[in-house]
Amino acid sequence: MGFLMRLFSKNGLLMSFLLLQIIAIVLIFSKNSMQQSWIAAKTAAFNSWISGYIDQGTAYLRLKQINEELVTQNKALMLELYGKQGAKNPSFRKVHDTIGGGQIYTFVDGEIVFNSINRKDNYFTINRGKRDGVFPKMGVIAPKGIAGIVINTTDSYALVQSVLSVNKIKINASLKNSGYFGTLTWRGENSRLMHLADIPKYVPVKVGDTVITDGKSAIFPMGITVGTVAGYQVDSKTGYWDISVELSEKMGTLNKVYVVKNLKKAEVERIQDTLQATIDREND
Amino acid sequence: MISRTLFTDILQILFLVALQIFVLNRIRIFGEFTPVLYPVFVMFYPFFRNKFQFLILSFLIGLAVDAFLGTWGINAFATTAVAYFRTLIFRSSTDTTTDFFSFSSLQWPQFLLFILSSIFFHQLLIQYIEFFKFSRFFEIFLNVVISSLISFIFIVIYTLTFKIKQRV
Repeated sequence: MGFLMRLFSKNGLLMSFLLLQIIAIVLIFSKNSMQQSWIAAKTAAFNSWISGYIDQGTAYLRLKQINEELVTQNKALMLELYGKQGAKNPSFRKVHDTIGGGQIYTFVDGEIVFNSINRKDNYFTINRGKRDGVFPKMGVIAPKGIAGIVINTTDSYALVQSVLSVNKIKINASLKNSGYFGTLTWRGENSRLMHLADIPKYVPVKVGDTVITDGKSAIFPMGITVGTVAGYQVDSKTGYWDISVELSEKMGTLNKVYVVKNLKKAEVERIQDTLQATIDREND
Repeated sequence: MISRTLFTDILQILFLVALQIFVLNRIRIFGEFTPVLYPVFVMFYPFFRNKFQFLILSFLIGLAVDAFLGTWGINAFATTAVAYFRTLIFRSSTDTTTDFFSFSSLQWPQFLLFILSSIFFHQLLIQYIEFFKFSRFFEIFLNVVISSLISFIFIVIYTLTFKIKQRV
């Protein structure tokens, strides 16, 4: 106390100045919102800085226990993620025809799990297989156009030959306006363009004409959109039109597809076999 | 010349605070700057009076302005600081080295420099404490310079009106 008294009597003016300033500072930090929030933020930051070190220390001591907990949790999550059947059951969509011959096509919806577009013969895999009624030689269509043909299946997956295949795919397609049909192939240069050949030169063609599937192959139903005519020229070798078709479906971003199931396929094949048999018999 | 006592000091404080709050704070020059006049009490308080009384009265006038503006402590802090460092400011803005001052013996340029540096110091403290953001350093500094200049003009008008220089 004596020390304080001596200090004050020697530097009285400075002391009273500091006292008044301290009062002002206390007022500033207790009454003004800006400074209050600043001091609150600083306090919180200091607090978390200190307690961060303390937490680090205690966390280190608990590492073994935490590790065990994590392993248990991981196991449960892996069981959840990989252990179960991931795919949902397909919903069948029915198409009714009015001809009276009963239903010809049903569709199985699926999702693409692997896709490629940059090879010479491209394939993709979908999450539907034998269990869902998907078998080889079924057509696969996408929401905006054709996608490919199933070539192999397992219980729950199917391998599909993409329409972007140079050697393996030939699809019957026709011009929607005139109805003339030709063969659709891919030449491997651009994932958006296919080529329609075998259409006679006298058939009128316009850029922008719609190209649809023809329905003569029992793989795709008739009238599925393939794309639009992007350009045409006469093929000098064959004398037919060589029409470039821009696919309406972007094969690179494909996700949802439908597998076309032809209910009358066996019947159609049987009658075509008799034709073959007839030809064979005539040749004999 | 009226002799100054504690009573006249308090009357002057009341007058200056009322002038500051009810008149000057309603003026918005260029839309955002307010002239500050009340530090004239601190600047022109006679040098030979009781220094403790001077400090406490300076604190009180700042606090009174704070009470009306709702900025508790900010003006009090700045005004008390100006009061305490007034001798220092006076000595650095004039050539004199003695402890005894009178304004009537000063040259006008030195007198104006004293006013300008006092009000600048005052505004510097107030604005930085009020905004309290170093990220806006230059913005606030510009604000300080402009409002000091505007206040300076008002203070000079005040000194001319009341003939401060001749009387103190």
